[in-house]
Amino acid sequence: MSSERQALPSRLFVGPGGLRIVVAENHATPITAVAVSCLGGVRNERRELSGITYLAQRMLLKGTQLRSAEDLAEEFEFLGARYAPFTSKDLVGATLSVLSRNLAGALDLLAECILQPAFLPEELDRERRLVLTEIQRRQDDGFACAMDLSEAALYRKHPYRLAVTGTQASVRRLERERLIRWHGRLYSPDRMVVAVVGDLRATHMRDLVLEAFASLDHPRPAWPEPKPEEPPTSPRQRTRRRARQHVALALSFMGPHFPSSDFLAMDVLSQVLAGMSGRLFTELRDRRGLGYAVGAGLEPRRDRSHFGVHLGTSLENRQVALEALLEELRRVRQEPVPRQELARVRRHLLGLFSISLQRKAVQAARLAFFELMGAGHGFLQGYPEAVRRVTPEAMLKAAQRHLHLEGYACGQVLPHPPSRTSR
Amino acid sequence: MPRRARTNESPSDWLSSARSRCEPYTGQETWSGLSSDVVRRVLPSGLRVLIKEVYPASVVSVAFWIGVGALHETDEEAGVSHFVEHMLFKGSRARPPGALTREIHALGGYVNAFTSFESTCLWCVVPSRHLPAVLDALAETVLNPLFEPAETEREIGVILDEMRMRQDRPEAWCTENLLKLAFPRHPYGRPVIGLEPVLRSMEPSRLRRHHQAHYVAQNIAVVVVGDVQAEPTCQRIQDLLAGLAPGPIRPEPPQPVLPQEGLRRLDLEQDLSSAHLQMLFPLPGLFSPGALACDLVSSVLGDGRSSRLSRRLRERQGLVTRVGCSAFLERGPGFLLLDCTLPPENLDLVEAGIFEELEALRRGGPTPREMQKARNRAQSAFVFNQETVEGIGRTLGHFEMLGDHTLADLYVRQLAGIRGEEVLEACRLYLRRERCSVVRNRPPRVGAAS
Repeated sequence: MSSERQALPSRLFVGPGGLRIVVAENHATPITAVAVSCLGGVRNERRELSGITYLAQRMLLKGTQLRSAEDLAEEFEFLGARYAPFTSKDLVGATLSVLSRNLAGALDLLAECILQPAFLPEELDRERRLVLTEIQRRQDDGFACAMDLSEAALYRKHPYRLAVTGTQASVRRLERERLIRWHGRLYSPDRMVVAVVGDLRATHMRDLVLEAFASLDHPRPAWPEPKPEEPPTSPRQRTRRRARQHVALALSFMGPHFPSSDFLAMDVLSQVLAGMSGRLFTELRDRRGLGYAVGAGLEPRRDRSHFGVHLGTSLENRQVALEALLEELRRVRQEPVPRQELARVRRHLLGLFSISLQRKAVQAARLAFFELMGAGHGFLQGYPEAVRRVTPEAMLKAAQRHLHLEGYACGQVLPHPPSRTSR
Repeated sequence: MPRRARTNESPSDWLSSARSRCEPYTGQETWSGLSSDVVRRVLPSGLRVLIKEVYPASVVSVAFWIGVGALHETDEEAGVSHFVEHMLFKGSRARPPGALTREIHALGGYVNAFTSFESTCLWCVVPSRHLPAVLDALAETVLNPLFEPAETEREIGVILDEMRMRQDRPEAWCTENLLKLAFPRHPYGRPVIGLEPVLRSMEPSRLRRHHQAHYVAQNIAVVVVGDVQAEPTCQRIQDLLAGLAPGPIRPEPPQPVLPQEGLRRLDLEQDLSSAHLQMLFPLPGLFSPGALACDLVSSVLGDGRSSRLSRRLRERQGLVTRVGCSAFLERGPGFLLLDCTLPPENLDLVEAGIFEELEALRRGGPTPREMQKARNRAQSAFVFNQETVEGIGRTLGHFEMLGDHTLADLYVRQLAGIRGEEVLEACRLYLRRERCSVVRNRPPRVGAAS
């Protein structure tokens, strides 16, 4: 029987202006998935412009030069398409999944949204109000809020400290002209990848992309690079208090660059800690019953990657749970992961990778991501082998270099002390 | 006095009536349906085994569906099904606590479980070559959980933590209260996770009794999907579960929904920044005439940005950040749930707007284009769901527990045949103000004195 699933072979074509098109044929289902991805996002923002990328992206679905917002929604949804723009700390873009027979129409619509948004003033007012409410609402989500606090504390100046959505103050101030100029610079063919995975001929998928993005033929000016920042030298902490039943806590560390051998080592290491069979869950929840939710994850970024840990627990267990959590991090800095455990974790990681590749949307998003972040689209096929080469020694060194127990940031949302809530 | 319009038919009645009115399938040309090549066996013990071979897959999903959930519980045992589901991971005769998860992860897969009103499901996905090992592990877990006192005690704490976390999630807290309001003295009115006093005093003997009563062959379906061979797999399952007691199935106690005299309302306050508004209308069960029309009602109202509620409240008026609608249709009574997130000051305006839209739909019905869009979206969603072996397995298992796995295909086909008049009729019957329950969860109002 077969071993772990490998990504299907992908091909790269380069179009006008340097637009990279990555296509992979996958005939398992009559679905085609598209990921449009472009370098540029929060990483290019300043405090006073915080949230500009997110608001500009939100406007992509709010009407184009040719169609109203309502018409766009109606047409996408009549085709049964799944579509959404996205904004991250490093990237912007949009994803589309659709029955392959409807691909051409849906892809044209998507390109129209990306290339010709109208930024109608009344639509902008409405969308701005919705974003402001969303920012407010994020405060109600304990873990989201704790993670925002910990990232804000991790960086002094780097734009990664800014929330993707921006702040109430910054979003209120973003002017229409500014948004239009920002968007005009955002999608530049030389910083952009369109990945398509579907049950159509590779060259046909490529041609559909070329046609849809034909007007995107020359590069736009790039933004200046943000200054790199070193990890903190002592723990930083930010706390918010709400009337809540439990504590939500997040720790942030600056991890290795992507792609690098340290990144792969930390990737495997985060799997040693994370998940229901990981050390954190086993020790904190299974063995000691110190909390319901605990986990860890490594997020690749253009500058140093982000390693995050989260914990949900009761107020009375907070201190013990945090110490137990830090103790587990200390262990991976001091002792190599036993080979047997590593073999188990590696199988789990690669198994999850195989399982996730069943979805074409996941394949397309990863192809675009790896190509843009400098690993190359082939990284998707090479990933299992790269993970197999990671050794306990490499993981230990990576942990010592990047998991600074004196240099992390902690964000937490705490319930009010018992005397105030017991009334 | 509005009532649930008709009594439920049996699944087989529903099937035959659905088949007779089914129009030719107009969806995917290249796609042969979900249940077409499923091997289904009922073993002598009554255990059902469903296997679907899918190529290429390289991963396989295995699920044990047990026909017990919150609907089978009384107030005094509320939460016991969910508790037993947790304890499946807490040690069995051959496995110490936590070993099942570690074992499946070590094979390169993942394992999880859930409990709903109607069933409990233990499922996992692994690379296909590990199918035998996974069948061994899951079968042993389902057959021989230990319910050790110390583990039970510890799990009480974990489940209470889970409960507290739910209370901190404003939408979940809102829905829990809405169901309580809409279904008094009915199991839907209790959270599946259970009631705190019951959980605090949970004893291993109680868990064991529940396991013995419900984890019996006639009440279990095993669903396997992936690049596996049906016959040897079926044989292996039969061997592994030979020790399973055959039955009998404990029927659900009759649980009538109390008649509703008029609109019910509850206002909650939490330390929030945004407000949540949720509304519920009781619907007939899945096997009642008109149930599928209700699914289309829900799609027309709240599925996607171009749906009626989203277009009006979010896209045109900008009054809500999110609005959605879903139809919950199972064997028991169904319901339509509307759910909005919004600034607190818009609560009245949005509630009034929703009632206006419902009234408009009750008067004019959906347009032909809306009907076609709803069908297209249902068909696409159905195909998307089949991208993964676990998606296929979940759909097959869900419908098998409702009575017949082939309902999965029929459901989509029948949706294609529903006419606008049927949707209009469903709106008139079920979307009535006096049948509605409303819960608002909002930040505390600033006191008049200040």
